[in-house]
Amino acid sequence: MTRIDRRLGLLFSVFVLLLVVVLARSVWVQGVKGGTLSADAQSQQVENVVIPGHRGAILDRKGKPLAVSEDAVSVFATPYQVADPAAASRKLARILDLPPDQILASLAEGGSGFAYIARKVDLAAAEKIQGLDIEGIGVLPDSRRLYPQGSLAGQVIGTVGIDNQGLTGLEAAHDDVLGGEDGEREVVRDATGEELDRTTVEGAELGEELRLTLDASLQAHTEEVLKEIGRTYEPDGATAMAIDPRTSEVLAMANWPAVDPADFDEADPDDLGNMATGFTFEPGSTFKAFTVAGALEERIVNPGTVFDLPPTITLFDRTIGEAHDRGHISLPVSDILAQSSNVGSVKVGLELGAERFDEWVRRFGFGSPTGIDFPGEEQGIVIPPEDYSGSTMGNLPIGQGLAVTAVQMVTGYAAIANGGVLRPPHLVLDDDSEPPAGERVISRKTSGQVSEMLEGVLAPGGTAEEAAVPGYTLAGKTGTAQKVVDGTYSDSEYVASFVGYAPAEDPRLLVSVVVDNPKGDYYGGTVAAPAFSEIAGFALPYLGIPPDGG
Amino acid sequence: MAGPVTAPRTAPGTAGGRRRAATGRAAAGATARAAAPARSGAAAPARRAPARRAPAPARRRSTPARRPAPRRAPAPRTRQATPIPGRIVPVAVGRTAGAVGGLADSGIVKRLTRGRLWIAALAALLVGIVALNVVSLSLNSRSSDAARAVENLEREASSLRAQLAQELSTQRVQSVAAGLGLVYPEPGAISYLRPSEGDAAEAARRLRSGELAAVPVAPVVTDVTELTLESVAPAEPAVETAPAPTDDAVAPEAVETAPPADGAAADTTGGAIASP
Repeated sequence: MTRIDRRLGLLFSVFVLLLVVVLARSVWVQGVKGGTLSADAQSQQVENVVIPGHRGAILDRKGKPLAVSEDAVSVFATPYQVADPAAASRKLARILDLPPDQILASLAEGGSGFAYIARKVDLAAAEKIQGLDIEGIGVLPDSRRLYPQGSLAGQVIGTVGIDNQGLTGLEAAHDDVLGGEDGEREVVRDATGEELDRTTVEGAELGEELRLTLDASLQAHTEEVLKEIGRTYEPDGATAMAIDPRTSEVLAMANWPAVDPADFDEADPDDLGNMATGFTFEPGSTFKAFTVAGALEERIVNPGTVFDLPPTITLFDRTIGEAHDRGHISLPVSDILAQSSNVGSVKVGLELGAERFDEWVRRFGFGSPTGIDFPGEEQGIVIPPEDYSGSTMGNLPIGQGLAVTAVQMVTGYAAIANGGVLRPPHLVLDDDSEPPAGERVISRKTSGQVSEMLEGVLAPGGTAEEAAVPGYTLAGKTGTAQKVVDGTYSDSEYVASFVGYAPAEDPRLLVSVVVDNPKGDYYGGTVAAPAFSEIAGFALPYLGIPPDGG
Repeated sequence: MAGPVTAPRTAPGTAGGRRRAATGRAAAGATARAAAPARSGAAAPARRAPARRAPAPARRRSTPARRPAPRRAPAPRTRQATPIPGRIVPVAVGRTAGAVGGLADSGIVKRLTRGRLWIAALAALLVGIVALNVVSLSLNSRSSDAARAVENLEREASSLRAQLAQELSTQRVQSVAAGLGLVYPEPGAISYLRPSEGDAAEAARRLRSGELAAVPVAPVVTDVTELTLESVAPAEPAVETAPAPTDDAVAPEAVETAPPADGAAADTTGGAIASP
């Protein structure tokens, strides 16, 4: 063997040895330690990020956005990686507009290894935070809900939680439609943190849009009117609704005080509810229309039936008088309603009898939810005839002794206005389906008779003669109900209300206003009826409804 | 099929070989035993010779007519020689090794490996592998950049949609409209005309004569997601056409409006009327 051959042999042996070493190492790394190292690499190099699925937008009937979602970020910390928490919290506080102490407290949660600093941060702030390049501080994609119209229909639209789930209002009721599906993204980084690859494992799905029957402009005007009532009468609360009685589409559903859905946390809990569906009250005189309608439909009376009306009427331990003292008079049924006679209404109710009266009350939908597509609707209180006391029929026909919601009153009045068909009101617009067929509760004739009587309420001599919209014939009824305080009717707290519609001959707009405990004045005719005029005065031309004979 | 052919070729020392030797011994009988005393270092060929020679005459005489019954003894031998997997593998390995060894010794390989061309070839391969990895990483990076750009654009679009929604909010539109002197008409300030017989014919006649011009009504955008920058950008004012009403200032089904309440509204209510 030559010298060169020996050297080659040696070199070969060295290479073989090195190869053996490499093979042994690879067996060790890939075989023995493979699982652990792979898991470590996965956690260090591959980042799985949740892509938030935006909630669908909520739009008004004309497509104007009432609630939309936009990209945002959640700022988080890995506390043990933050070298100087105090300095980091100061820097973050300036961008996030949060107290530094609050951020510092989050950073002090070292044991957890993860802490949220702020949620739903806008993208501009997120960019600044990323620009700080603080180790241990990062951002995660998130989605946040915006309400472009501010507090408009706040209680109706509702709010969403920190994880974008519907909590109240329509956001909660239609969470399954609005809610998007989160996706997942895989980001691979090298040892220096540079992004090598980014793969969408599962795309996020956007929630569906929800189109409401509400009209943003009419809603805004209605809220403005309630705001004025709030300023003038400082009530405990107020609600107003506008619907199309032909279809029961809710055009406006306003509450006072208004609540901004973006700031639900700051709002008074008492103001968060939707008064239109959740506030029950004794309706007072507005209920008399149903007493009369039942009696007319049963053919017990007709509009011309004259009742002899003493100044008061006594039933067992209860004496019922009029709102304003008067002498002995005789009035036809039509004037009983127009002048809102308590004694006359009680007499009509007594003619109807307890059983039939109860039947009519329930037929108009009182005592059970209307079925409006809004969560948490109250059903009111309607006592069964077997629980009536001797004086109950002295209360019920004039709207005392039972509790209703504004939406129940609106639904009942819509049946009177539209020719006798009771339909559940609805807030979600469905262009593809016909309006609900509803259920006929009174004949068209009775409906017309009651409408004619209700026109008298706004005519000279009626209880709401000042409620007028130039050019339009209106029909409606005032209500002034004493509130029950500590089990007895209060002499100082009232619920003022008005329900009316126009044009009286072919109603296309129905408006209800309920004011809880107004201060100063408390009559439905002076507190609520003018508000009705304001709303109807705007809505009728706005909706393109021509006046009578126009 | 292969059994009878391969068995005789099997190398001595394999199981088949041993069996064949044993069979040979059985067939040859005393011939093999007679050769036994000649065991010595050089006796191996002599010892095999009788065993191999013994069947040879039998083969030469193996015509169908003359084949004696005992000569059929090779049949069981043939069955014993049938290869089994355990036998094939070593054979295949041996042959492959031989072939590879032969290839390594071939002239082409020698010329390739002892020349300088193989260095260039190996270098090209190595550079190619590296280049492929670099290109792959680069593509990954570009794909990642594109994905990031898409995400950024989606975010931007989402922000712009939200911004647009806020710009179109009722309060803002009403406030701007009020600033421009626009007012909602009072209910009493609007008069409505009922069409009568002949109105349509008269309108058609005036349209034909050019006395009336049809004013196109701007489409009402019902979905904010459908809005584009063009659709919200201020358009060139149309000559001889009134501004199209927005849904915040929808004109009713009127064809005539009463005089405005103040001078500021005069220019805004006298324009063409369109149904909402």
